[in-house]
Order: sequence, then structure tokens, then C-alpha cells
Amino acid sequence: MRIEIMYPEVCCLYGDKANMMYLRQCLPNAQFIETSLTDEPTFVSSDVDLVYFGSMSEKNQELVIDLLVPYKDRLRDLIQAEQTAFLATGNALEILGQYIKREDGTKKEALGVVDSYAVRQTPNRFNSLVLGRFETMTILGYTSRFSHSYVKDSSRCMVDVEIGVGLNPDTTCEGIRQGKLFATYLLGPLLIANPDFTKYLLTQLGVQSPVLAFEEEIYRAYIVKLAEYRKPGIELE
Amino acid sequence: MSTVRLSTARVVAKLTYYLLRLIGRNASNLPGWIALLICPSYLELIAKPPLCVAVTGTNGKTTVTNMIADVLIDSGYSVATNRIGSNIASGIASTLTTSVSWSGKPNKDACVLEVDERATRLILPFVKPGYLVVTGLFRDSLKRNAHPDYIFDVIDTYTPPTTTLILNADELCSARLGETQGNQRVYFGIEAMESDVDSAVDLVTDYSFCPNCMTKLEYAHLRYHHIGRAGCPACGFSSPVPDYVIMYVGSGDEAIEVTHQGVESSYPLISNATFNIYNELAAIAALSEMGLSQDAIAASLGKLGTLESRLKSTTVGSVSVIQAMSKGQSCVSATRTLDFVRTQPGRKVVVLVMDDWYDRKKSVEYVGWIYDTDFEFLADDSVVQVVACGPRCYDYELRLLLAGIEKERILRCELEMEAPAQLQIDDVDSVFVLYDTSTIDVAMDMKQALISRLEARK
Repeated sequence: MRIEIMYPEVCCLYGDKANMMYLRQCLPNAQFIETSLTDEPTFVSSDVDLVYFGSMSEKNQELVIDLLVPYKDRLRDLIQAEQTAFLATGNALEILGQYIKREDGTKKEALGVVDSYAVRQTPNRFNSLVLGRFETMTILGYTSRFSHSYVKDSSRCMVDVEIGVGLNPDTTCEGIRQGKLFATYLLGPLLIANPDFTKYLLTQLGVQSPVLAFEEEIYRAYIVKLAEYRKPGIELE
Repeated sequence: MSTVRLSTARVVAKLTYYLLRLIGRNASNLPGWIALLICPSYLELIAKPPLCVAVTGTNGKTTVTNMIADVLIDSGYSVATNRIGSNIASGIASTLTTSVSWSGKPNKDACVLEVDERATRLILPFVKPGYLVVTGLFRDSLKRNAHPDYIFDVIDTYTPPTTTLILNADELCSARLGETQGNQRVYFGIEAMESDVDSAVDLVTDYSFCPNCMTKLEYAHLRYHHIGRAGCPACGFSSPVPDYVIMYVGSGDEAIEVTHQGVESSYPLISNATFNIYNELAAIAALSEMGLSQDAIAASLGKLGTLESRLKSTTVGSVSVIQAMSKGQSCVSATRTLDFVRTQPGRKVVVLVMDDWYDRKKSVEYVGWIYDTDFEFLADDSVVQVVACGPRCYDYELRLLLAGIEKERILRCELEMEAPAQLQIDDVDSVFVLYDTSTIDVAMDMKQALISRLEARK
């Protein structure tokens, strides 16, 4: 199995590197490829099973978009073929959309591989706990960002939010799911905080009956946190 | 109208200040808050002392502010400073209130202002300090500060072009402040240290690639995170050349030799922690630029004595119980503390009491930052046990396991006060209690309970 980590020099804010740190423990025999800013992505010329994008600064979003624009057709083909899985956490979700509207009203054209757009509102920072349903699972996490996203097709929604905010304040839709692409505003240790989702992702990668690293401990932490998220009157920010 | 508002605000703020002082309060925030309520342009309109210096940055701003203020006071200046108070707009307004008379004329020679980095946008354009010292920019609380690029943009946008910037040449983010506006920039830096390393040792090393051509930077010296002297092998980009430079720092040094314009001067070293050497150097550079002589600065620094340590140690029998500050939500601060702990001699137990006290009462703390923190430093034979305390102990347990610490060496205590009775004290030389600013009280209680247990064992 081959897993490509895109631009770890910059796509590594807010503890997002935890996801690949954990996946390395779950998949000790997998090959992890760290693609640097000056490298051609591996997915361009050979098969990989999972491509991961982590959170980045707004300035680096634009840098990453510029680097990936030459490969957007390849990205779109891979997403449509549903053979390669994609995971994007935090504001990496926005680089996959149609465009990002900057604070001054100008637009940065993005990769256009999913049907969404983002609007930045810096210096307003949006922080929230999030809990919602993904298929039969309960997903929990945290979002912290300067922007909101908007999708036209709500069937692409990844998580239906019960607690907290979705892609924008007017929707319970959180994240975008398109075949094997999972893009979510939830940031940080998503795969450590959500063992059911991690197992699901591993099955998408072809792992039969996946067993998680530190499975007992990870489920214990998950159950404790689920109860905390559901406490009445909890402050979301 | 603005004159009436300003006068009213000033008089009411000064009255509030004296009333609060009369009842024993610090009066570091409320007078300024009231002044800004009455006169929103208060920070701009209030008269400033002839010398005005501001200090900001992720870490070290309190230390540098205090050093500059203390040296100025020792050199005969009358100084208004917010050393015990708030570092946001209301705190700055309170401090400036104390630097003018009832009639509004400046009655201090200087003001030295610690400024919260995010609050610079509400302060710097109006106060227009002559000097702005920036200690450095690192990752901090994601809720408030997002990331260093954001804080950079805030400071860069709102620093007046007339302000002279005193910058750390060895910190590539803040070193680029003032480029666009053409501010006068003065750099400080350290050429080499005995403890330098060749490659990154920390999980978080931001600014590892060239901002011009994206090539991976090469570091001639690397200290911690992205602190060091970098250069691009492809396009020639490099860290700025420092105007105030320490050529070498050895582990046992008691003085630092600072070279400026070819002249070497000696100053007492008041703390040998690397980040504090940078703090002292920042203060020396700023004070020198303000016109103070080397002799005056060195003499005053000598009177300051050693910086008060954030460590508080008590020894019972053969075991030392050491409280060590480790700012929560801040991976750089926490990593520096963990690095310190691992270098201490003997067999250690490390107790983590770093949950955010406010989040635990009303919310669920986001703990993504612990994955940017080098808990791997505790995967060392000298660390015999790590105790994860508080509601987030289950998250810490996972982080410790991922850091390579064996399950048998991890103790979980959801209730902190159970830890002193349960943790290992046999065959141990020291117990480190790492606490956040918000958990200092519980850490002190734990330390006391542990001391009682150790005394009972004697």
C-alpha cells in the first residue's frame, strides 16, 4: 500500500500531522511518501492508495493551488475513478473547490475538483466543537478557521452536524464526500479522535477487518469524549 | 469635541486608577477600558512620553519588557510600563494614563509596553512607538492566533513606517517584518552555540523552505524549531546579518560578548537558557539603539541578577519535586520544557497537568497541539513513568503511546489529586510536575501532597 502525504512542510498546521503519525502505526507495512514542494506528486505518474492534505496557512493555500494546477485534470480523473482515496483536513478542503474569495473581494481560482467555494473573513476566526453523523458513525472533532465554504449539491455532504457548525453557519452539512474523497473542515487528529471512521477509511484502502493501533485506548478516549460533547449547555467555542 | 472627550476620559481614568490603587488593586485594565469607552481615540490622542518602546512576540515579551524597563529606571529614567498588567488595548491605555499629569502633559521620560501580538492592530497605529521589539513568532493557540503567518501579517500591516524594528535575525518569520513598508530594521542574533545541532530535532520546524524559490533551506546552525541561521542553496536567500551578534555561547559562560559595528562589549549573562539569551540580546539591542551606553546597560543588567526561574524545586530525602511551567495550547513552549526535562540527570517521573482549566469547566479542550509537541523526548530510559492527569488524560495517553512510551510506564489519573498517592517514588531522583498557567493552583496542591507522602516515607 502506498500513501502520499502532500507538502508536509506547509500542510501540517494544528496537529494535522497526527493523522499520518497514527496511520503509520496502523499500517506498518505501508509505504509513506512525503512529497515536497519542489517534487512532482507521486499520484501524477503512478498509483497510490491514499493522498493526504493537511491544514495550511491562507498564504500557503494559494501556493499549494499554484503547484497543483498543472495536475488538476489528473486529480479529477483519480477522484472520479474512485480507486484512489483522498483525505483533506482543515482548510485543505478549500483548495479542492472552485475558488476562494479573499477578504478584498478578489478570487483565487482553486483546483475545481469538487463543487464548492470558500469565502475568507479574516480576522474573524470561527471556532467550534463539531459532532455529527457520517453513514452509521458518529464523528467528532473541532474546527478553527477564517472562512466558510458553500456547496451546491447537498448530497455531497460528508457529515450531518448535530452539534456545532457545518461548512458555513447556515448548514448542517460538514465536509464533502465524493466517492473515495473525504474533505472535512475538522482539523488535527481526526483519525485518532474517530476510530470508527479510521476503520472505515482502512476498508476503503482495501484492508480486510482492520485492527487499529492502540485500539483499546483509542476507543476509550472516543467514548469519554462523546459523552463530554453531549453534555447539556456545553460551550462550543 | 475630541479634546473634551480626551480630557474627560483622562480625568475619569486617573480617578479610577487612584481609587483602585487605594483599595489595593493593580488598576492595570479598568482605567484604560473606561478611557476608551469615553474616548475611542484615546490611544491616539493621549500625549506620549518622549521615548516609547513596544515589545511583542509569541514568547519572551514579558521578560524583555521588564529588562528594558528595569535598565531604563536604573539609568535614571522615569518609566511607565505594564509589567503587572494587561497587554491589550485597555491595558496600554491604563499604562499611558499613568504617564501623563492631570492636565495631560507627559510626566514620564519613557513608556515600555508589552503588547499582545494579535492586539498590535489596535495599538501600534495609534501609539506609534519609536521602537518595536519582536522576540520571535511561533505557533501558539490556534483559536486566537491561528498560525505565525497570520500574526506576521497583523504586525506587518499595523506597524507604523516610522517605527524602528528590533528583530531576531535567527527567526525567519519575524525577521521579514517591515520589508514592505521599508521600516528601519535592526537585527540581533547568535552566531554559534555549543548546543547547536545540524538538523531539525523538533516535530514542528516551520519556515523550512526558501520563501523565494521553495528549495529546502540549509541551516548552518539550528537551535530549536526554526531558530537558527538559514540559507537557500539555490537562490542565495539567507537569514539577515545581525547588527548585534554574539559570536559564541558556551555551556558554562557567565557573560556574553556582543559585537556591534566591530566593537565587542561584555554583558553579564542573566540566564543560560537559549531563549533567555535571545531575550537579553533583544533588550541590549533595543537599549543600545535608544542611546544608552554599553557601560550603563551592562551595569544595570548586572543588578537584575538571575531571572526568576519558572522552576520551583523542593527536595525531600533523595527526591526532588520540581514544578515546571509548560504553557498549554502552545507546542513550542511545551516542547522546550520537555527538552529541559529530558536533559536533567537522574531517574525521573513526569506529571502532566496541562489541561486548560477554563475549557474543562465549560467545554472540551481541543488537544491537536499535543501532536505538534515533542512528547517523544520522554521516550527515554531516564523517564521511568509519565503521569497523564485531568479530563484529557485519555488523549495524552494515546499521544504518549504514539511517542513510543511503553504502556507500563504510563499512569492515567483523571482526578489530578489521585496522582501524588499513585505515582512511583521508589528508585526515583526527581518528579517533574508540568503545569499550564491555568493549572498552577492544582499543580501546587499536587506538589504539596507529594511532599507530604515523601516526608511520611522518611
